[in-house]
Amino acid sequence: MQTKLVETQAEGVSEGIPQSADVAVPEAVSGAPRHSFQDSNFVHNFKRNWSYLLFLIPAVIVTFIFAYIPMYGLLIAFQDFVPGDSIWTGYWIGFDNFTEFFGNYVFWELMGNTFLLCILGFIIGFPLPIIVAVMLHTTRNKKITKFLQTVFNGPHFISLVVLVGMLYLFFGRYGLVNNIIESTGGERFSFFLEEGAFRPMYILSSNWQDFGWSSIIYIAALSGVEQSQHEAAMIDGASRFQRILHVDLPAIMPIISVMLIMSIGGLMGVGYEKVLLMQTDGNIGVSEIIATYVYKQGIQNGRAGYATAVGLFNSVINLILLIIANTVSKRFSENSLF
Amino acid sequence: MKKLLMIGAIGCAVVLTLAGCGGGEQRPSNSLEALKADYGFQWEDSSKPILNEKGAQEIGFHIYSSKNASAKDYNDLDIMQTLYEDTNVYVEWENVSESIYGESKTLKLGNHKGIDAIYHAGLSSNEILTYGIKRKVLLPIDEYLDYMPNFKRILNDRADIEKQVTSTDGHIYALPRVEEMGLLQNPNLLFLNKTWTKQAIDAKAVTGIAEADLKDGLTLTAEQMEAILTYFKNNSSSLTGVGDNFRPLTFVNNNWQGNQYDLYGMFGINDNTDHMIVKDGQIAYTVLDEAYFDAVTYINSWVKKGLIDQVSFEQSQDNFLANGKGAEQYGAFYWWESETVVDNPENYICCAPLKGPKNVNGHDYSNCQTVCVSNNPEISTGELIIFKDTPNVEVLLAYFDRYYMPEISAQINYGPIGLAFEEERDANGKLVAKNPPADMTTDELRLQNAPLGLCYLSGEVWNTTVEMEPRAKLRLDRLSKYEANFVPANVKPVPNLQFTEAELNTLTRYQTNIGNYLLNNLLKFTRNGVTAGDWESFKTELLSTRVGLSEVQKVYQAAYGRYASEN
Repeated sequence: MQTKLVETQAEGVSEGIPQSADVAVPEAVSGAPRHSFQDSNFVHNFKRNWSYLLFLIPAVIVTFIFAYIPMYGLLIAFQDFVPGDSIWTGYWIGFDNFTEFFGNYVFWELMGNTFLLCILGFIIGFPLPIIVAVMLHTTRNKKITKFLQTVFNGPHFISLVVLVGMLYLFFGRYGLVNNIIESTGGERFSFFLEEGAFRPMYILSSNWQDFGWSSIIYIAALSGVEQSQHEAAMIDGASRFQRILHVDLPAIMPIISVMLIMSIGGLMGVGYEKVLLMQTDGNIGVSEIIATYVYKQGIQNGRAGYATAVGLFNSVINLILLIIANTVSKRFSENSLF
Repeated sequence: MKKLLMIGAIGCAVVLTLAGCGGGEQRPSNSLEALKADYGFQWEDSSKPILNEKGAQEIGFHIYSSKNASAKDYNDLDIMQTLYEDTNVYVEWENVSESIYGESKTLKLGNHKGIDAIYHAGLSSNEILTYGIKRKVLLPIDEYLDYMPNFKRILNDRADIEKQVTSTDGHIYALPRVEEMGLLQNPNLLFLNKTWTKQAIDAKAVTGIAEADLKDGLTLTAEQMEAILTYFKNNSSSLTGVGDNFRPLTFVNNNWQGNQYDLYGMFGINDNTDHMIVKDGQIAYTVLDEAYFDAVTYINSWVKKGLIDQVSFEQSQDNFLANGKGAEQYGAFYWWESETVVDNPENYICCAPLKGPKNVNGHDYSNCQTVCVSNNPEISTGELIIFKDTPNVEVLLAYFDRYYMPEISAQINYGPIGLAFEEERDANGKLVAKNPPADMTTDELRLQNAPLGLCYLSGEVWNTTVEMEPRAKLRLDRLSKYEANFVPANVKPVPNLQFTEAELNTLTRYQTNIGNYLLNNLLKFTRNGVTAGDWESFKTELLSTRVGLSEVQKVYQAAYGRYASEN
């Protein structure tokens, strides 16, 4: 039902374009459905739209080369692989790498650490840009909006290493924050040695760095909201907050749900770089996550097969999360990725 | 149609680009007879060139090596030029920084196109098993020992070296570096600020020592040390003027030297960064020692009182060194020498190990006085590896054999004659260290001009060929007086051991976890304290099959048993 609707819409759109306008006739005339491939919908559509499809080719090629061909490398998850071995005739060991990982005592610790770090980051990091975007959008003075937007975007361009360097300067035992704490009569606190300080420091610094940048997409969506709707709401006596709730938010809801699905899909896919930079002997209990573990096993210990198995496991979790998020979103809001 | 053609062309271009990564030249390998006849190959006489002029032109090797950030390109090093002139063997070096090497090592071992050997290879026994025994990528060097007269002599003289470099399958896959100065076993010395301690004595903050005692070799009890450090702590602003960077006692957490493990000596524990030593011929884990719990609680009490600044657990070696410069900030510190740490080393005296406290949890440690025994090996195996398919490998091995000649070894390790050593030998015919140029320190000169790596500097070489540099002599002197004397006879460091494949699998499985588990928990306990119950559950967990210390201990014990029985 839904697909047909989409097709009719597509036809309606393409009718305006001269070179494909004449093709739509034969099937409509013959009436009875034909089952040969040549006359199927696919061929039919293809004939009509092939020139547009050509534009897809570069994207398809790039995706194929860089995303699909390298997948054969996953085979090394089932091997005792070191670089230089042939992937096809390697040292096959079946699921040993996986059993080792699941049996390893760090397994649940890694899962827990990764999950907590990501989910906490997500809980704070997902709504923040939306709030910021709405706030910027409703600010009356457009000059201030532009200024603030620029200021908020600034931190995004600080390189990761520099950012962590700043954290060490500010939060080190003899850094700015501790100097302030001591001068106000408190005790110096080793932010980098305390397990409890790692997650807040990591998450807040990440969000500080990226909330402005992530809000751009919502600001763009908000600027597409019809001014007349706001005017109508005002005539109906809606307050500013009510207008946000009933005009702005519904308008950007499709974008929010797509972003939500994508963030949930990438939930466990947190990068290892920043965690690794912030890792110390003191906080390793909470800062060792799947990504840093893969890095250490694969690059430092040279256990490529084992690291690939762990990474593959992580990707499978991500895929499952993505599918769940997508299904839920489809059911409740009719917005979905696929 | 034109479009289609264009797409086809782009497609072809992509395929060609992908296929373009390949190719490479094949160098001919000559038979021994051909090498001898055409290129004048000889190896018996180490004072004559290995190849003739034609050989210098036509035979060459490409060697991959990491280098220290401040070192010159190895192609430009004087010692490499000297070696080329002496041997006529042409070697082209490809240098990468040490940090890059760590990550490129496995890739280069896997795909070594165009590379004949890796210098500073740093292969672990696990990697030697993978690439030497299993994949057979590495050249079994023992089959070519005849071309290496110097190295062969070393192996004949020193059964212990032979045992440490020979893999479990009986082959030697890597050449070692041997630097036996006796400096590595005890990596820490305790230095104490003389002026400040004098003030503490004057203020009667500490009893039992007089001002006259303040010279090298001072023995303090834990209680006296605590009193002195407390005095430092309470009077920091009057002592330094600037309070911010003041540290009563400091070190670098878990560093290979200058670490905290001499403190555990107060409890009779010879701890080290691996927490593993050989005691009475058995592999022993120091953390399982009865006294370790008391040691942790006692050291934690110093941390709590601020006598050991917490920054000691956080700082890097660079921070530690930088902070010591300028105005005096350190009351006491652990390092291998005072000169690199503070600007006025004269004001710091070198103490004997601390004596243990009288009462910790009801136990008396006042008779305990020992130090850290590290497992830093003086013989590092895996320093140079050669790939199996290297052509004319006999020539290359004869060339590297020259590195083991005493005078070459000295220059490899310290820098060339004329720069690091005087041109003139001393009365005993030994090489004498030369003073560095005014704008450089000895360390800088050495790092810049010496490649380090393959060398053989044994006790015998120090006696006959090379005069030890003054700093090393001073340190040796201090070590023998204040450290080595205090190590009990039944305690030895763990030597380089050779493992079987099954043993290595166990090690790979558990070792990283154990390392992290110990590091993390001991740090937590030392900083925040630990209850007896927590300590017991920590030990139970450590020995369980989940963390697996008992498994690893068995493996080490078996490997050490083999090592010891062959002696």
